[in-house]
Amino acid sequence: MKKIISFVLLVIIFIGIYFAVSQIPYGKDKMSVSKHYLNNGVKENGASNIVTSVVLNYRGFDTLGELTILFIGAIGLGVVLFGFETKGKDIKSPSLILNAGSTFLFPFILLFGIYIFIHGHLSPGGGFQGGAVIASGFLISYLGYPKKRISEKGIHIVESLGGTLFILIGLLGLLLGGYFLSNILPKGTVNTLVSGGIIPLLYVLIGIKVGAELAGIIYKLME
Amino acid sequence: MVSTVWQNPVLLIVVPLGLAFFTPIIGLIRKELVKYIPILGMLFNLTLSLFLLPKVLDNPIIVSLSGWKPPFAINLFVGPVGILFSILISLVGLLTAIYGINYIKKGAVEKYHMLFLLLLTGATGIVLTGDIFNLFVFFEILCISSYALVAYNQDKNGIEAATKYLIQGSLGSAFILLGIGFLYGLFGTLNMADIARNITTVDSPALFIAMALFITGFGVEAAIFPLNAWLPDAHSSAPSTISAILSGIAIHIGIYAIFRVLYTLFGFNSIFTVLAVIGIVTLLIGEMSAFRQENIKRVLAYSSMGQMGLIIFALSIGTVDGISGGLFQIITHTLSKSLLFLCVGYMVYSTNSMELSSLNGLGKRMPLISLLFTIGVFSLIGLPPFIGFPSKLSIILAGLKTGETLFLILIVLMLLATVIEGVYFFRIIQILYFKEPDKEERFKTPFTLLFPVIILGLLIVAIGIYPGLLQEILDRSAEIFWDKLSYIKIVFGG
Amino acid sequence: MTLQLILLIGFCGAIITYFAGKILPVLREIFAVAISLLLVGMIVYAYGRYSQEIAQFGFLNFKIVFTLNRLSWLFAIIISSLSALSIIFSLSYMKGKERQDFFYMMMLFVSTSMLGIVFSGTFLQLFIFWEIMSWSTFLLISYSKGKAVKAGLKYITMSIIGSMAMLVAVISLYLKFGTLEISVISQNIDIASLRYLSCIFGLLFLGFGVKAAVVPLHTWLPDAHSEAPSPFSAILSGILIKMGIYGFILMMYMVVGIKIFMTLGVGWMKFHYVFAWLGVISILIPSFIAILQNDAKRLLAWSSVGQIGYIIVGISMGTGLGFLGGTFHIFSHAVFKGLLFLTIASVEYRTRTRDLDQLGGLIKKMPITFLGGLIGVMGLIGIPLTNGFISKWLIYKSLFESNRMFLLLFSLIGTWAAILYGYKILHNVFLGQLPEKYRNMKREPVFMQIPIIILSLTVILSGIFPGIILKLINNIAFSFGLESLNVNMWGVVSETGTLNIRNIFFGILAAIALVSIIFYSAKRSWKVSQDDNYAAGAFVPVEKYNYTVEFYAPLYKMIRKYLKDVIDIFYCWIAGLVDALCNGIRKIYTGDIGTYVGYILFFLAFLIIIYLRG
Repeated sequence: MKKIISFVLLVIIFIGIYFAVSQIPYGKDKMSVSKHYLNNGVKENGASNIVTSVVLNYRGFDTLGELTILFIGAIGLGVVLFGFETKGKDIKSPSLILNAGSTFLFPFILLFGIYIFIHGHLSPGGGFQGGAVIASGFLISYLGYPKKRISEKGIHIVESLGGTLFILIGLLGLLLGGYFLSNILPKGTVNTLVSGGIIPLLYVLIGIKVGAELAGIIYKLME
Repeated sequence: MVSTVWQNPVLLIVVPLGLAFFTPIIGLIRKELVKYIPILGMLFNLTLSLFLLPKVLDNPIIVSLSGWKPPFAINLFVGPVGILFSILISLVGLLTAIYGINYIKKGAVEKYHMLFLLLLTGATGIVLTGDIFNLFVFFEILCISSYALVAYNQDKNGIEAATKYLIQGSLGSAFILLGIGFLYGLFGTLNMADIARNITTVDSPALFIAMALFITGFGVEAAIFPLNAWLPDAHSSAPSTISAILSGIAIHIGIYAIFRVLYTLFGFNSIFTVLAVIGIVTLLIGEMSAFRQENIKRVLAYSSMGQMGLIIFALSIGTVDGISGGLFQIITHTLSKSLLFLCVGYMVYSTNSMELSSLNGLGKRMPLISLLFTIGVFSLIGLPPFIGFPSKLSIILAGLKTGETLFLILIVLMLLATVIEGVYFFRIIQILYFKEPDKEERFKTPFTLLFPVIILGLLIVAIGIYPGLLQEILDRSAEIFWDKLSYIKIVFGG
Repeated sequence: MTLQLILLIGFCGAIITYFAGKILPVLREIFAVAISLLLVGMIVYAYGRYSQEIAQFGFLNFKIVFTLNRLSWLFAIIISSLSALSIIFSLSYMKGKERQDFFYMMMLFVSTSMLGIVFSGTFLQLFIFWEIMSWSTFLLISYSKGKAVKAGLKYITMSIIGSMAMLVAVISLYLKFGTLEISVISQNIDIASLRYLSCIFGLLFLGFGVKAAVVPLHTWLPDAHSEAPSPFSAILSGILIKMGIYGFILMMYMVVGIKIFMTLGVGWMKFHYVFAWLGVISILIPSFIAILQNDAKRLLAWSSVGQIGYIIVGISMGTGLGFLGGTFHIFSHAVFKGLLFLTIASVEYRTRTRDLDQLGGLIKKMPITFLGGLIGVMGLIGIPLTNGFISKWLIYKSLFESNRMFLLLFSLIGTWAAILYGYKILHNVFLGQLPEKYRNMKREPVFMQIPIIILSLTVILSGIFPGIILKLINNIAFSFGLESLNVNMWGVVSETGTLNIRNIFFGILAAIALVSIIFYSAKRSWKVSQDDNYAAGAFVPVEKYNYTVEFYAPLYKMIRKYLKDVIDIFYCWIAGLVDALCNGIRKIYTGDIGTYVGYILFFLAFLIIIYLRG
């Protein structure tokens, strides 16, 4: 009985949403705002990656919010798992290959991650992606050496600094440019590393913060 | 430039956010300092909001972020409604934070304070933003931090409630995101004023479906029946400070979101009649469910549900009077319910039980807290001379003013619900005062617990005796809240 | 400013009293008495200074107006003086009880809120003070714990229902007339249709009727009056239920006007007709139920329902005589019922019981109380030279003149019942044999004697010189457009039969003189002790001899089975139904997350269906 009801409900919702989707002119010329971004994005921000300039400048506030959500996720996990002792489970030592491989790969993964977020304003990629890559480095290192711990305090400090500095940059923008998160630094030459004003700075912060948060989450969950 | 920077409304969001980010570092310096951070943040917000209030009453302020004009960048719409909410949020937040100093002792204290601050930031963000996606982002901040905080006690009930809340809340969020996707697909913009400007150019079922998705999605947080099943569990098993915030603020924010979207984007249409009916159904179901509860926090939680119904009804009447009444009721409910939860928090803490029977004779053992509890209850029932009376009065007045039979019937039902509400609340009052206590010894209440509750009680009585204080603000807020055209005009200038 | 000052003093005084008690108990008592006396003084001072005060501050968009007219002055003086006497009485009665600060605060709160009601110049204020009165009364009724808790809940439930109906009526009036000022509405009453007014009356009947305890809205009263602390029962029965009557008078005579009122109603079901019959039912059945009661306060409570019936019958006649009688009965009932409750309270204070089966023979132990009880019962029954006689005479006469013979007959039957229960309470408490355990009882304390003496004197004096109050009431009637009657110090002059207390007074004086001459000249009487029981030739031991149980046994057998409070049973049944319904509704929240998700999907589907269907 229950199943039939839920089936009927789902069918109705499906019909409704189907109607709706079928009417939406995706990709038609109504996208005035995105056109503006495409036409003026590079000029206004000096970042050759339009997506990045949308994410960090036009909608930088959203990004701050998303960063916060991730942050909340990490602390929320901390709250729920607080005082959860790992009961000295027998953790099997991983194989030698994993052991050696992880030692070898760890710095390269870090490096790659850093590359991704530093070049976020030039090429596809950015802070979130770079952060995720960094976190995967920590994951591998964890798999290689399950008994080794990174300092939780360290993670907290990094997270905290990343977020605080983000906001400080925004406030600086408010102070100097009159708008929160306004791009106060010189735009530089398009397509060079030092361009796009505050965008690369923000991405670095995001990258570090996301990396630290994800790594923290991974360690918490692994335990 | 510098002189006006400190009045920029964006600080209402950014300062608490920054403080929350900064908390771990302060925690490293001294652990005790952490619990004062939310107080600091909320004090700042309260001061700034109160300072901004007279300004926005004349002219709402538009704050563009990143230095570009709307619709290209996100903008904040700082109108009287937003500031009103912001005042409420920071006031209740401040008082609850003071209460929390001595109340929160176990668990991840530092993280509690961070989440607490973030929750309030999310709420402030929602009421100030003028961008639908930004609204969603802040909505998520609010929701996710409340999921985590509900589970703060780490007992079985808390975790179970948080999980249920999480599942239902996420479903709601998914609907909202889908709705935003539809709107973006139709209009290619996320700015609410921009969408509102263009909405008449499109007549498509997608529009209605998007609206339905929004109502459902935000409705989960706003505790509309039947989307509110998470509420009694979550509100009753969270720590009382969090219950106070959830009941006092979070659910109102859900309501704000629904009506901001409806008023501004979709304008007035027939859905309001449906919502009015749903509101009264929510009210009846909530009050009736509370009637037989034996768990004091659940009683309060169900009563919150009922009050949400009342507010939804008021806001759906669709006249300025109705909206003004609804906003008034929001203030009433915020003050009264947070007062009640804070009082109950202390009662539960002292007696170690949430059963109604454990409250027997508490009037003698903690007289002041019981007195304030009584004030809160009377105010919720709508008895003079407390704040609940003028707000309920203005809702009924607004409803009857429409002269429609439907509203007359709904108001009669609403009054019936009030009777039920009155009976179970009066029963609790009797338990407090007119039952023999098991023990005689009195409880000593620490000042930090007492102070916030007293302030709330005083506000309830003061506004109840002289509601004229709020009248003008409410009317003006209601006007601006409702008026779609002036919203568009203000955002785009001219 | 006077009126606002009175209310301010009352409310602030109540709060000050509370905190004074926290410092020093004596301070609290001094404050309470001083404030209540101050209120009496200010109201006496306000006599004749009829005025309207517009308050400096408004409430939302409403104007706040305080008015004093003859009607409200009459009520105000009754309220304030009876409250003052009750508070003085409480000084002894409450000694040693717990939470006295709270008690005195609430006593002042209730009486001030009642003053607020009668001073209200707008319906909004009326409602506000009405609500304050309701909840403060609730707190006082529940004060004694135990059974009182249930009584309090019953009271407040009915009271909220009443207030909600009243609120709708008030707001609807506002929407119709654009103002809530009573005087303005009464001037513009013509713009409202009769149908509309009937609806308003129906709603207000619920609101005022609950407080006035008109059958079928009376069921809270027997419980509440008997369980409340006794000095407060005096206020409850004496004045609080009259607030409902005040509301009726206000609506019938002042706002709508009696001419329009007499035409209100649906078809042949004229409102005043229904009203009068409800009044008579309130007289008849509760009076007989009162006979059956064995709890002295419960008996008095039922009697209050009955006496309210007389008032309603009187005012619903719509004639000058009826109004005179009904309103005078408000005064008389307040005085003698207050007196009786205080009497019982003082008996209860010494004996710790109010069970009529266990009391008896207290006449020698508490003579003042007995005298008070005797005079109270005389007033209740309506024996000449008491104020009860005046009001009942006027009411009967108005019924007679309006040619309402059935009403008259039933009212008279009600009075017979009143004689029976009046005598029962007098006998079972004061006459007969003194039970062994009360042999060493002390007399009543002085603070109990004072109010009893004052009230007893009032009953007698206003019974001998009814003109003082009748003149005032006559002026009120005149201002309502009723025919003015020829009232003098001794009564009412009219063609169909003049009420002249002077003649009665001297007649009775002569009769008393005659009887006592005969009594004293016949020297064959001798004094017997209370325990000298010579019962039909057989000597009965003292402890086994007790009249008081099953006092009117044959009568009980006859009427008991017919006199269940059917209405109360009906209400309780409804309450049970609601309770079960609420319990059922609660089950919606099953605790199963799958179901909850189903609800969410259902809601979305529901909205979509609404759209798809149009």
